[in-house]
Parts: sequence; structure tokens; C-alpha cells
Amino acid sequence: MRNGLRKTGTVARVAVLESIRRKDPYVVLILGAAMVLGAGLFSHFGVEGLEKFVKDVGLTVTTVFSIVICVVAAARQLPAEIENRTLYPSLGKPISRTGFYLGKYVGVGLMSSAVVVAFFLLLRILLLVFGISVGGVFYQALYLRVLSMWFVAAGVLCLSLFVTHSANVTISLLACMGMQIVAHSILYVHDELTGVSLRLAEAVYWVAPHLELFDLSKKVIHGWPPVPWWALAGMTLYAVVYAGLFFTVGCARFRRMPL
Amino acid sequence: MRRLGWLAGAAGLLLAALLAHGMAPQFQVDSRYKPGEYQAAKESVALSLLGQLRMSVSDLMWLKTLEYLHNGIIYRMPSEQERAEGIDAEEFTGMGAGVAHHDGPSLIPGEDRDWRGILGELDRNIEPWRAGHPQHSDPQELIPWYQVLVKFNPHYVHAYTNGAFFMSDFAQQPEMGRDFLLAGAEKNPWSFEIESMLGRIYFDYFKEYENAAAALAKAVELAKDERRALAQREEEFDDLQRQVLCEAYLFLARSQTELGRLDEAIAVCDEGMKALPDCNLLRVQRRIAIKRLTGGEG
Repeated sequence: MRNGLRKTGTVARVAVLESIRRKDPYVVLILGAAMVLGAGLFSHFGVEGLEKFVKDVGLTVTTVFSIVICVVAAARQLPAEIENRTLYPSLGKPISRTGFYLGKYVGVGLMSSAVVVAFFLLLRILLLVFGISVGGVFYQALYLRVLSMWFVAAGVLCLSLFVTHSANVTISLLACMGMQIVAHSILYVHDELTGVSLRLAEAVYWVAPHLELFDLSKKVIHGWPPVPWWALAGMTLYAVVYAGLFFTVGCARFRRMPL
Repeated sequence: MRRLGWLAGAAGLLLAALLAHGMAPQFQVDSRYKPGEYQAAKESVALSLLGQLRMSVSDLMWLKTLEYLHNGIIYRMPSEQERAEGIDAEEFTGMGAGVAHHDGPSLIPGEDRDWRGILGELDRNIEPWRAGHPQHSDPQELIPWYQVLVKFNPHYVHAYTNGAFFMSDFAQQPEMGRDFLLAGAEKNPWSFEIESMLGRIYFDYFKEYENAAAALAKAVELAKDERRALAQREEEFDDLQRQVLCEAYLFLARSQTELGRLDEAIAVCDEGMKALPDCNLLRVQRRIAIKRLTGGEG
């Protein structure tokens, strides 16, 4: 058991190192520098009272690019191993396919979480420099964003075993960015629907993974108080259930896959 | 035979030139753009793309205005079912024509109307949501927003007029509003909306009726130009433009009345009523001017 965990940890470490070798995390630094430059431009304009705007830009950049990095990293893990034939020597060693899959998942999750933490740290420093205060909801937003990385990584890794790499990246990015639009559209039209269309809309709402519920950006931007602890616990449970579901489906597929 | 060939060739070239002239995009050069700017826009892909980007950013910023005003809460228009139950949208007009809007119920339903159970409860706690009537944040918070918006797009006329209104009214800084509009007028010399708002600020906050009359008279003339240009393209003023023009005529007539130029005030009312028959306040102003004229003034 302990030996198996160590091997899984090694796979995870290799996945993280591979991302570093591909210079993914450096994107964080470049984007962070762009954010600082952008905020510097506003101070150059001499306009005061743009606290909400600076927070809005910072959190939007953080959300979009952390999702992009997570999706891209998760989508290439298994197809790249299969395509480069590096999967075979790995599985030749005494490690189960489940252990290998878990290692890949943990690697992507850790790397994406580190990226989110780096983004938030950079944003916090930037806000401190500009004298913009943030309440406890900022740290809650960080927690939910990290949680969402594990949720997204599980989904994308699972999907990478069913569709091609490019299709996976496209579908995953569209789903991540468009989930809020779908959810809001259903809320907009719900009262006007009847019969089958109403049942269908409600079913879609219940089944679809709601990534937008991990986004506390608006509360941070508009200075709302922190959310109650039970809501964070609820979202943690939601992420665990969905990530577990994606992981189980993906792992089952990987174990049965002819290599 | 050879001469005939030359003639045919020349005729062909002439025809090609005529066709090319007819088929080339015809740009209408008016006071807004210099011929050089048209040429540059026509030839430079980069300039065209950057122009589109600027428009998109400023439009996005304008859309964000209401989100900021509502502290992030999204409101929607009531559904048919809600209307039948007596739930209606509230009208908010006291914050400048450009941000006048209707707020219905919030997009995220309250507990009593939510069909989503625990997901709805989580949503109400994660996204900005508040029970009861729509509330607005302090409109002064939008002033820097408008200042940045015009940095991105100095031709965003509504940002100048609304920003100036917020500066003068909510922030009680009419000097700031006037300077903001003067900067806007310099960058948009064709805009009757900016001149009209400038005239109103001179009238309402500075009581400088001579300056107000000059700005409002200019607004009326610019509006006529704009209306003529639209008519050539078989288009008309929208409701907001009609309202601004109505106010320009009205405050011009009021300025002339304050200056004791009652004949001119009546003439402005007549012209305004002819241009905008549904601008009823001009009839009232005309009666005031006539009363003062027959009472021995002017």
C-alpha cells in the first residue's frame, strides 16, 4: 500500500516536473507582470477610485488563465504518454494503471493549485501596493478556485480518454467558460417553459457540473462579506462528488483500454 | 484597324475606371473624420482591428456600469407569470439618461420561488444576491469608471454626458463635470449630446445663461446636421437622441428667457415644436415667455 502510494507520488512528481520543463508555470509570472503593468497604466492615468476595476481585471485574468493552464496540462497528460510511447515503460514497472492515473491526476491538480496560489499571491501584493483592501472573502475565493482546479482536472483527464486532444481542449474550455451562461440562461427562461422543455432544462441544470459556483470574484470585487462556512463545505462536497465521479469513469476506461 | 484597337483599349480602360469608381467603397467625409483618417482606416488592417478592439472594450465597460451600480447582483425583467402575479420592474430614471433602466426581480430567485433546492441555496450564498427591492451603490463610484472609459475610447459620448451628470449632481462638483464635458467636446466637436449637457450644466449649476445659450444653440445646430446626415441614410434619431434634442431646445428657450430675449425664446420654442412635435415642455415654456413678454418684459 505504502509502496503503491510512493509510486503514485513519483508519477505525480514527474507530471509536475514535466509542466515546469514545459515552462507552464512561467506563464504565471509573465501574466502577473502584465497585470502589474496594466494596473500601473491606471495609476498613470491619475484616476482614483478604481478599486473595483483593478480587482475585476485581476480576478478575471486569474480565473481565465488558471483554467486554461489546468485544461491544457490535464488534456495532454495521457495522450502525450501514449503518443510518445513513454507510457509502456512506466506501466512495465510494478505500478497499477489506477496508481498511474491517480498520479497523473494528483500531478495536474498540484501544479494547477500552485498556479492559482501564485496568481492570488501576486494579486494580493498588487492590491496591497495600490492600497486596495480585501476582506476574508478573498481567501475564500482562493480556496474555491483551488478546489475548482481539482474538479476541472478530473473532468479533463477523464475526457482525454474518450476524445482527441484538440477536441478535449476545445470542449473543456467551452464548458468551463460557458457554464455560467448556460446556468443563467436556464434561470432566465425557466418561468416561460412548460412540459418536456421545462423538465429537460431542469435536468440539464441538475446534471451539469456548475463550475460557476466556485467563483467568488463578484463578491470580492463588490466588497461583500465572507460566505458562511457551510456553503464552503457544501462546495467542497460538490467538488469531491463530481471529481470522484469523473475519476472513477476515467480510471475505469484507462484500466480497460487496450494499449 | 490598329487605330480601332487603340480606341477599343482606351474605351475599355475608361469603362474599367468608371466601374472601379462605382464599386469602390464610398466613404462619406464629414466633420467627424478627416479624409486622411478615412484613408488610413481603409488601408490599415491593424488600425481597423485596433479600432474594433477599442469599441469592444468600451462597450464592455459600458455594460459593466449596471453591474457595478447593482453591486454585482443581476436583475432581469419579470416573466409573464410574475407579471400576472403583480411583480413588475421598477423604473430608475434619476441617474442620467444613459443609465436610466428598469430592474425586475433578481436573476437568482429567492427561496420561495427557487426550484433548485440545495443548489439554489448554494448559489444565493456564492453569487451576489439580496432579498427585496433592487438597491444601487453610490453612483459616484462610477465617476472614475467613466474617466477610464473615455481614455479607452474618447468618442464614447454617453460616458462624457453621464460622467458629467454624476460629477455635477451626485458628487456636487459641477466644475469637474464642466471640464470633463469641455474635454469631450474638444474630442467630439460634432456631438450635440455633449454640447447639450454642457449647456444644462452652465444653466443649472453656474447660472451662466450666456454660456448656456451659446452651448445649447450649438447643440441644436449640430443636432440638425446629425439629423440631416441620418435622413440621407434613411435613418432617424432614437428616443434618447430625441429626448436630448428636446431638452436642448427647452433649456435654450429658458436661457433666452432668463436673459430677457423673449422674442428669441419664443422663436426657439416654435422651432423646437416644429422639429419635435411631442416635446410638450416647449409649449409650457412658450406660454411662460409670451406671458412675460405681454407683461412688459423683453
